[in-house]
Amino acid sequence: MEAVGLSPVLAVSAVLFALGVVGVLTRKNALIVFMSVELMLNAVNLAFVGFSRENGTVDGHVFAVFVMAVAAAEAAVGLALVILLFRNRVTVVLDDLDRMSG
Amino acid sequence: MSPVTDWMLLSAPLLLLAAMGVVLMVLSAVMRPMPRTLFWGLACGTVALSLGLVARSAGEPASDAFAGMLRVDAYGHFFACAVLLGGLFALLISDGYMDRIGVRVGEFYSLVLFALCGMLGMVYSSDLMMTFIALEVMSIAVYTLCAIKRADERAVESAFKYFILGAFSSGILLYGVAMVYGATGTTSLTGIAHFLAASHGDVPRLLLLGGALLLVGFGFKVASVPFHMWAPDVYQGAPTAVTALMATGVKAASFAAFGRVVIGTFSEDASHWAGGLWWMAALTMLVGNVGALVQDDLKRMFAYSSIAHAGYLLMALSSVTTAGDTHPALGSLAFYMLAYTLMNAGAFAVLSQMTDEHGADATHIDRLSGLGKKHPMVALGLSICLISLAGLPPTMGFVGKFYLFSAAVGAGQLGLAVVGAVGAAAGVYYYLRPMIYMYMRDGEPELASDGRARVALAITTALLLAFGLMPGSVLEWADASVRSVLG
Repeated sequence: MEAVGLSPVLAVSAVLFALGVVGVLTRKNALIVFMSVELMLNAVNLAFVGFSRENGTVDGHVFAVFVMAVAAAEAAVGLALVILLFRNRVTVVLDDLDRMSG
Repeated sequence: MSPVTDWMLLSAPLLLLAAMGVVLMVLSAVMRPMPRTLFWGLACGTVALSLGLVARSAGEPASDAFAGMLRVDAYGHFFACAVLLGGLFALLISDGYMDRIGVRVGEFYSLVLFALCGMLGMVYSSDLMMTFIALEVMSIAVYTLCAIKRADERAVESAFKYFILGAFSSGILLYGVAMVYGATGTTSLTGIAHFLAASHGDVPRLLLLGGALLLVGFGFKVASVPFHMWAPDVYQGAPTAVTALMATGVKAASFAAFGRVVIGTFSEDASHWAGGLWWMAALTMLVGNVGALVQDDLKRMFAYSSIAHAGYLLMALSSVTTAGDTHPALGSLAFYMLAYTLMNAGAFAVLSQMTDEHGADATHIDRLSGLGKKHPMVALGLSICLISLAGLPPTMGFVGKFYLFSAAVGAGQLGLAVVGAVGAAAGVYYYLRPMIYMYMRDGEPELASDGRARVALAITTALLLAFGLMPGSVLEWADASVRSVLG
């Protein structure tokens, strides 16, 4: 099997990242927005691993593990906040979050 | 000294906060109801102890810890002091406040310690990956703190907004780190600086992209325009004691990390950066000050004020970056950050006492009416903080603004200084408006009598006046600290 070069890896990473950004900016459901953020982090992981292989250093692989750990912690807090939001407001639609303005 | 004890000594303040955070978390699970005074005392003691440790090591030469992940130097020490002072004042005002709003949980203190631990990691970090992890340690704790009053709709809404935009900006920042890593093969700040110095202006496009993404990511964190929209809602909705922590510690730590990256590393290649920073600073000063003009809720007003002050600090960053070593007042950034921490801590000590009988925040400006007659000392303290925020003498805020603007002019940033001066003039209006309510209107202001919050107010106002009249030693220290990053 032929090894994949850096460019395709980066291209996939960039597409994933762009999908994540577009998702955060356009979707209305809190859970989908949260999912899009996770997609961005996974795009970062892919880029780290790709660069790491290209550079011949192991750093990028280690960073990817760090990012996963942080993403897990973020998910724990984020999902708890979504539940809290639903308990208080019985909605997870971001447009309804308008108790403060000015 | 063996390497192990070496790094433990260097990072003792950080490890202490993390360890006590864990202890308090475990204690809060077994001791219910929470013995308030014990938890509060332990948390305050820990922060005070780590502040002492930082101050004690302030004179020592810079060294690396954790395999080059942390750089323990004068710059880090200065901002660590600012961060820990902010944390200490936030703790002082939180004890009575949390009781009034009906949140009596030990996790609060544990989370504050975790957040402070993350902030110290940020100010000492000398590696982009370390900056990211410390940033997340801080942010995740603060997201949770915002929602600590679980039945409060507005608090939960603010926590969620903070979380989504915080996570989004972390993702952008991290993608920037990945691009920088790809272009240079390292995430160490000194490594990147060497790479930039060797490239002689011929910077790879991947690195420029990475730098731009870092700028956006940090821009979100310090609430600079156009990435500021989260700040007003989050500041207003979060419990006042948590807002105080955000306006002091979080702000100082984010700027410390931002400053180290911009001054220490990317000033090697200022030409690609200066333009972006310039526009960010100018827009942030304008939008923050104009936005604050029309606010009637004090917490929301302080959110816009925090945006405006982010603009002033960005102006300092921009002028240090362009002028480098020849800069006339290198320390203006660090000095102003410390001043900002103190004046906000004092102002929030008063805001935290503005709760109604249901335990909800009541921070509408009307509720200040008549405060000057009923509580003259509190009114005087708040007035000193507001005068300092407005940048009028004889306070630390005046000295800070003076150095900031003279530094900007000295570095050739005349346009930026003019924009800032226009903004600061608007600032005088909205900072003095609460004073008109306090002294020139009649009313029956209801203020919780919170002894510890008043102690915090007394200390901050005393420091603001003392450093306003005798800024010499602090200014020298601030100067030396920023110089230590320039290398």
